[in-house]
Amino acid sequence: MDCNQVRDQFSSLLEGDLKPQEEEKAREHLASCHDCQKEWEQFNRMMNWLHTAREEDVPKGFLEEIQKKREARKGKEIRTGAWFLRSAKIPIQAAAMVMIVFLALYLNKMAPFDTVEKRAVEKPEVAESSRDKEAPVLREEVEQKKRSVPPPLDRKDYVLEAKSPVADEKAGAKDSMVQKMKEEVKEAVAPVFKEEMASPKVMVKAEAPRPEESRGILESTGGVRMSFSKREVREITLRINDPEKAFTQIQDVTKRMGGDIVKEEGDVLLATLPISAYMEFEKELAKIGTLSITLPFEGKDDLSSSSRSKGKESITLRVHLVTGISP
Amino acid sequence: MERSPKIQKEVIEGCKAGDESAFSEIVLTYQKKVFNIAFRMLGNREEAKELSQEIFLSVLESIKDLKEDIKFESWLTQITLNHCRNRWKYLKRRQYFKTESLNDPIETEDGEMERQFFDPSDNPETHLEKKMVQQFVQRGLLKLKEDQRELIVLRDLQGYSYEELGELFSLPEGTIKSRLHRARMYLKEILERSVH
Repeated sequence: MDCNQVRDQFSSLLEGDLKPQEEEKAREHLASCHDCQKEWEQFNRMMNWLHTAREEDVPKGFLEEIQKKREARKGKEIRTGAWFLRSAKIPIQAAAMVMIVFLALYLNKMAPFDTVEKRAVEKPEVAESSRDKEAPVLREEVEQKKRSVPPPLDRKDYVLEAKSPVADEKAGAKDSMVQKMKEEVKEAVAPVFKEEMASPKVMVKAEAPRPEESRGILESTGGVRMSFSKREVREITLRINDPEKAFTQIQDVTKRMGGDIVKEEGDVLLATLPISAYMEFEKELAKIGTLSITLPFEGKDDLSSSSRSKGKESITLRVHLVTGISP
Repeated sequence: MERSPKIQKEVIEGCKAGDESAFSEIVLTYQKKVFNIAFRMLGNREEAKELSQEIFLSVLESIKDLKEDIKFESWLTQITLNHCRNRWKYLKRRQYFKTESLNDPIETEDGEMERQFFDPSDNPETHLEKKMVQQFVQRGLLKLKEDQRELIVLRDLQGYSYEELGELFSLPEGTIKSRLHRARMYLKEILERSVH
């Protein structure tokens, strides 16, 4: 048995945990080894100190101080409302962090709007300047056309310029644009445009062109005219007995015709309707009550002809319901 | 070394129900044990007093969660050790123990006193010498690692059995024995080094 083995057994030897044979061997080694003997004595002495250590007395008034602390804590919790914070488990720091995050998000959200607005302001200039550099020929041609085309066409130029500058930057874009401008100038008939913009009534009353011409004009000017007619509201006064029934009937008819009730205000209904369905709609209204119509432009023929060419366009109607007089 | 008497089950139930006298009885029964563990773990009477009082307040707050009344002592010791560990960390962060040396002035109930040349190998006879030995050992304990100190305090100073220690630390008895032996040998080395 070597020294380390014996020293590892000091605790067991002291507490009597070793088997008799093991204990005998350990004691034999201790008797023969001076160093281990010394270690064993030191170990024994230290253990004696530990086992004979006197327990410390508890300070006087220990329990009373606990009671005082308890009372003080109770009072403090009630005064400061700490019980609420503890029960809610919402540390103030966490709440502050949430506030900061929201503030940061808010500020970040604001910033992109600014930059977008700046871009919106800057980009056309950039686009225009780049277009100036890239397509001097195009500009010359456009200006030439402007000079030769009557004033109403200026509006078209404006529309073209307002198109996305990205498209302008694309290679070959200028060729297609020039081609398009040329075609438009060829097709456009200046007096008709002028009259149409000035007064739709005059246009409708104007000499009836041949079917091919009329189709051509309508096609070329359709965008402008339809947008104009869309802005106009056709006023319809309907005299009926039962307003509620009439409302329901008008709603049904509108939906059946592919239209929609946009707004209801008292006895007034605002509805949109495909132009192609207008004639039928008018007939249906006549069945509901007595009809009187105020037109933004005269003549049903005009409406019907335009509707044929642009069946998908819609018209806005304002239907006034007047009660008390039987149809 | 004397063990605290076991407390009646009814007292624990009374404390759970909010009975003030039951709580007082628990404090009076275990105050010496809790205070001494805290003192041996921290080496300062004032710190030990404050901490022990905190421990009993914690006991009062959480006793309703104690499911097995029979394990009250083990549960109390666990709370005591946890509080000591936390307090030890707190004091260590503030370098409370950094200047501690076995030759520093000795703290006594009457205040601090200068250390005289002291060789514990002499047989301590007088009261003062006995006190000096205790202080000497206490300072040696504070030089140990925390888990080693816990084992020596509970086994050699408080008289816990190996079974209780195994349950407390969730370790087999054999492991407890070998760790305790290493801790004792280390403490012996510390004490011998400080003498020679």
